[in-house]
Amino acid sequence: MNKIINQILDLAKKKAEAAEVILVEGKESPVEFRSGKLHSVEHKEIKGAGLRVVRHGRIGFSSTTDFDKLPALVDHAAAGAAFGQQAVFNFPAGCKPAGVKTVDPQLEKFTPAQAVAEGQKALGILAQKAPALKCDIGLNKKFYHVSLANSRGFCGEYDKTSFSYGLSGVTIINGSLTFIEQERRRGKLDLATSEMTAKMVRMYQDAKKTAKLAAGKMPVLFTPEAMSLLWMSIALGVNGKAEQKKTTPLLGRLGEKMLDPRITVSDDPLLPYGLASAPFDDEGVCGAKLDLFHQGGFKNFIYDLQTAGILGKRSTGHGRRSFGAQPSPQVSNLVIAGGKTKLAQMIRNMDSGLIVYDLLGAGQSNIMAGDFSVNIGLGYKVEQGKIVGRVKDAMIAGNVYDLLKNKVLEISSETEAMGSYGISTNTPAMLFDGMNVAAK
Amino acid sequence: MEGLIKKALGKGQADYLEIRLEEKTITGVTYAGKELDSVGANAVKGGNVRALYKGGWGFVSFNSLDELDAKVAQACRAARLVGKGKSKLAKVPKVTAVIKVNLKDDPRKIPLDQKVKLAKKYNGIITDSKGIISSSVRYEDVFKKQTFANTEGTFITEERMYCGAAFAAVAKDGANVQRAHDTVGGTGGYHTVLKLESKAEATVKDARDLLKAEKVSSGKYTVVMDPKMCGVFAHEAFGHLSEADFISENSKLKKMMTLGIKFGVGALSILDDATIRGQRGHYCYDEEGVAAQKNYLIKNGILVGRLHSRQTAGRMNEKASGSARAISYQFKPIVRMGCTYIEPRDCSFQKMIGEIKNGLYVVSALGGMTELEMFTFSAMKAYLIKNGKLGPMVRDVILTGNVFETLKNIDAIGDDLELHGGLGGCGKDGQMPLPVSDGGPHIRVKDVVVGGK
Repeated sequence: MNKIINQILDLAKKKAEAAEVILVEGKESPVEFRSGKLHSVEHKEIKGAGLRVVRHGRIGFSSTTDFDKLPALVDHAAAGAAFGQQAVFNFPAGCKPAGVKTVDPQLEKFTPAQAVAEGQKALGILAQKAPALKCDIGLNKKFYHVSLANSRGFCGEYDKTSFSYGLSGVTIINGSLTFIEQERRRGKLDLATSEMTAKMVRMYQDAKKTAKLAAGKMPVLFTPEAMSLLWMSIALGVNGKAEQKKTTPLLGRLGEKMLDPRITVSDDPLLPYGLASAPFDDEGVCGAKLDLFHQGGFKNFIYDLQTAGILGKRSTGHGRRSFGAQPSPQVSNLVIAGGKTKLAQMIRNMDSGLIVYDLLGAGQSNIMAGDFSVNIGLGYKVEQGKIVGRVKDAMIAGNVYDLLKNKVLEISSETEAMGSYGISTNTPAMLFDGMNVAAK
Repeated sequence: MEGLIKKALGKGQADYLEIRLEEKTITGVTYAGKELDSVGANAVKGGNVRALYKGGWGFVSFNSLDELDAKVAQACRAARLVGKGKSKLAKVPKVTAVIKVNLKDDPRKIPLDQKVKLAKKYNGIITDSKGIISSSVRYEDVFKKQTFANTEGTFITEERMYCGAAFAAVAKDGANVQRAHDTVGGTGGYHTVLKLESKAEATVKDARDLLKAEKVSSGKYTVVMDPKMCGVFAHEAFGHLSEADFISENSKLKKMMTLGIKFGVGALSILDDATIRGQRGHYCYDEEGVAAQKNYLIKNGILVGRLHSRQTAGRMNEKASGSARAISYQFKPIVRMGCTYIEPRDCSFQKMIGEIKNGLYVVSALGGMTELEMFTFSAMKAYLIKNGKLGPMVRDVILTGNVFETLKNIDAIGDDLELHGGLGGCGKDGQMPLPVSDGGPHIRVKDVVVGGK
């Protein structure tokens, strides 16, 4: 185990009855293209530590990236403990971590020069097939080493890789700016250049026409990109802290059929190469796949140590954080079961309605309650099963729980890994009936 | 350290090099519901090297300040991978400066227990109120000392001290849950966060009133924006469009944003001014060592300026505006705003409302974002206006539209002016939150699309 961790733990034990240190050492190499040209190559080294202590029964926390001043770190944590919450947990002494794939050796070998070449390949394809698009590209390789130890003897560490690849194009169609984007975030190298560019070209072709839309109720197909908005509300709703604070609409509804029976949502920290996969959580609790909703029925809240302690439950292994913050319950990888219909068939089955990709203004409504009212950044009108053009200046509004319970028409058999809104999801597309659409 | 920095800069193989080092202490107190959620101080130390070679940037950031020479070399190698053209930075004066925080009520001198007591008092006002199921109150101060040096001989040490507070109240009635919030912040000192009891009380009242408010009916309205929403409009809808990094790389947008084009009524002036002391968006030098300025963007309805980094200004043959900012040592400076607002004129609030038959008065923003000319903002609350009089509160008011059309539709500009900072900030290119302020007078806009039920 790292020397620094031991040093901090030794200092902390003199001032507190229990202590825990998380040390994160990372390297990122983002490569960026702007408007079709290579813009920058960066290297970021990150090394930071977070110290949590329990002193006179209360929790204190501090973090630092200044390793010349470790006594100050301990003093800050101890000073905070004077006002901190009563600790309602013990640090775990250890658990048997399940095997989980978090490191991709291919990604470790991937160089900035290779990233530059891949970006240029994507630009070449787009320049040929959608020359009007001005393209930005970002490729980022991350490598992290996480170490965690506490005064009860837990001591664990793991390596983690992740890769993000984003393409975005902008152009002016019929006098208005049009953004078309594709993004992948994965735990491993995923150079899906041909697939991503092909999809962008198709989205661009479909956006060339602008379709008139009459306001009213209509079926709306949420692509996996847009589904992230709905899962964001669900991730907040199942959070044990929201249960403790009684702010979640799921309060007291365990076992109730909250969603359509075709919907099963699990949280899986052991998903191979999942964005949020890890052998143990950021408090040293080993997690496993957990059903949040099974066939529509609400099964589980998620907890960290302190929240579980307050509610008299056990941690579900969802204490997550960066080194600079105390843990709080957060979902890992949300895995949503696919349905029966192919996405292409779902569109063909639509009589008339909307397909939405990019939604603007997410997070501005009462997300906890599930309410949303968003501008359609990129969406298409469908008539008789065919895309007829891009929809402009329209908004959709609704409630996530209402949609997922009462309005699901179809669920796509394909699922896609997404990393939008800060949550890792693996989600199908869904078609909802009778959604409110406001248009100019 | 100065000697080491200068020595490292001297070793680089690039057209231009800069080193920026940062030390920061963040002290915060957060109440969530009745509980103290977090309290204490976090320390940050880090730095970066940015190199320009043939028009391409290389950037290296780190926490350990050892081996600066090696980091300079790494940044230069990265820049060489990128650079294929010509380096062109707008010329700016060489600066040597030391700026120290000099406040009568420096938050660093206030003991932690006083900050906890203050947050607890505000939180108590919220949690002790009837109908409130949850609250959050945050106190925060940030002391930052930044050293900037470049190969042109500029060497600046600037200290900044931010201090602010934020309140949120959640009210519940059956399945109806509503949230209201308020935040203040600035660089003026500890008094920024004192005597905010009335703001905490107003937040409670807003949350409770929202429970009774009807959802707004979607449609087109004549809208009066309060100074906070006006600020969000100035910042989100227009300010971001004035950021030259996007404009300089997009010829079509460049055309849409040609200086001299008429954008609004003759009374409309929008500016960004980072020199206003005490504002959260205040700074003396940006993260390229360029002095902050008062920059008019729209003056008397005409587009007259934009916000620049040295590179965008160089490319467009315009003057650097002191707008290259970075949230921390981990990021390159990019074009950002400081304090963005609409200049007040002469219309009284009474007259503005009095002339409306059917409209909405939108107050305070929950948030907002833009995708170039399309914007979406949500108001925290709004009131119906009927026959020149304010009516009942409505909720879930989301304004959306095209900024160019909306600017033309501003038909009255108020005689008041308020600027706001807060604990939040602006997000762009993964850099969030950047301390900014925005504001303006009350303004009236015709034909605004409002989403709702």
